Amino acid sequence: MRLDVALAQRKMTSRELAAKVGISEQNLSILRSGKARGVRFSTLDAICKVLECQPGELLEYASDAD
Amino acid sequence: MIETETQSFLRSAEILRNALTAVLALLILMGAVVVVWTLVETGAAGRWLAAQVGQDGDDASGMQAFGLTALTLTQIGIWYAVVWQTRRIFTALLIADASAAGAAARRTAQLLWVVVIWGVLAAALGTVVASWHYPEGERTLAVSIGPGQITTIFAALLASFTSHAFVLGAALWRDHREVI
Repeated sequence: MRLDVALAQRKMTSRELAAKVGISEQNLSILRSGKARGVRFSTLDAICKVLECQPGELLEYASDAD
Repeated sequence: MIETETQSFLRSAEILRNALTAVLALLILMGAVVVVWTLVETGAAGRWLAAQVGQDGDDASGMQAFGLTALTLTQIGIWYAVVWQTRRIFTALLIADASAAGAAARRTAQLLWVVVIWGVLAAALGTVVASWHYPEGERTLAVSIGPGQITTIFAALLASFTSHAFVLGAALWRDHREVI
């Protein structure tokens, strides 16, 4: 997930985002690192609502080989 | 709603864990009673244990009594392991460790199959030991499968299916936790 760019553009810390979305900082860190097994639509919905963006702006495909 | 159900479930798990702790203490007590009884009244203990496998132990020797006591203690030991593993399921559930609960459930099921097999073997060995003082040709080797064994087979079957469900449940729980 391209959360780092979105957070930097909005001058928001990951702690603030985690608090507004309602997930732990640890889970947000897992999302940022791309190590999450999956993302719930409800989590994605909450992140998009807080960051005022579309899911497509946050998600990008990267092959495991890359 | 889920919170209430979780609280109720945890309370039940704690009650069952405490009940199983009491069963463990009872098994230790039973084992101690058998040992002390055999040491203090070897003849009476031998007669009673021989009667449990359908033999007349009136003229049984002390060695036979100790042999029957050893078989009884082994059976108590296996049941102790079963109850210990079952208790571990509830201990794991109380700390929300689904993987450990699944592993303990699988070991409990395996041990119940050991109980089934050893139950039949111990009864057969018991008849041999209890009839050892008979003249050659009158000694007995009896294999008995009664309601006790059949009930344990059902319990082992049920535990095997339940442990499988536990393992699948643990995998689902892991997936659930890893999806954010």
